[in-house]
Amino acid sequence: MKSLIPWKNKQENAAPSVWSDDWFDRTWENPFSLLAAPFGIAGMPRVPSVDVSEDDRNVTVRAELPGMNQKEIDLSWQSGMLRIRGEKKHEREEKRKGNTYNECSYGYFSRDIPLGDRVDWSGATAKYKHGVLTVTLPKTETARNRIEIKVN
Amino acid sequence: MYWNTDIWNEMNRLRREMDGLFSQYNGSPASTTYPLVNVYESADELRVTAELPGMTRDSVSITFSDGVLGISGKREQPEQVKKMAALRRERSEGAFEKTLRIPSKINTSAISASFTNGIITVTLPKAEEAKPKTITIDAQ
Repeated sequence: MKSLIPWKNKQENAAPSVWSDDWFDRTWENPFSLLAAPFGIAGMPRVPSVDVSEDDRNVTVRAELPGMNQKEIDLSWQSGMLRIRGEKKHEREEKRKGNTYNECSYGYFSRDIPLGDRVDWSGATAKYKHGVLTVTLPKTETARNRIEIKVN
Repeated sequence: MYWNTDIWNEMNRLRREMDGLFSQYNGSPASTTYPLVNVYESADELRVTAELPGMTRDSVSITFSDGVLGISGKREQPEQVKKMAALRRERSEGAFEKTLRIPSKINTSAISASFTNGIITVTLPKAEEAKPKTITIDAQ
């Protein structure tokens, strides 16, 4: 099925669809997998879980991306949103082996995190460690000069 | 702002809840949802991988007794994050334990584990008697 869709097009439409190629392929090849896992939910691709926190200077985004290669993660900024994209690949060596039981999902994922005008994306830094991607974005002047409203 | 408009996240949360609901009926060998695991079996060994992003070797413990593999630990936010204000919180915290029934007899003294990029890999070599044997049929 994958071969029918041009790669670039696929990348564009990749996620956040639950009907991703990976899920479709697996169900196509083994329709009984739907019966094995009720509602076919267990093997569906998922979006990475994200924590966003802030202090006076920065907004920090932490995304759970276990088992990836740093080069496979694509970070971009578009109209006030931080976009985390990538493809999580199943280790080829593992795929070849005999019996398997799978809970983890693989394939394309994409996640948009709205941060608006509070951060200066051009000053962003990112690192990937222990399967967690950490993106630090410095706050803009407007975000820093928030006025506290006192209630009497 | 639009912190709560992420429909995919909402769907994902729903999915997780449903996973929890049905995991006891779908014939899964695992006790809980977290952490997510894969199990691979070859002629010589079983290999279990578990997704534990943000955790380190010291914060996870692996046990094996009576054919049951246990993965447990505690998830905590790093100190510098605790000091910051939370705008969005999806990663869960706290103690976890997952047990998996291993269907083969294992050579327990040879079990090994490694941790890379938030994925722990436990290799469980099969006991000699559990390995598949080829039986030669005598020619008549």
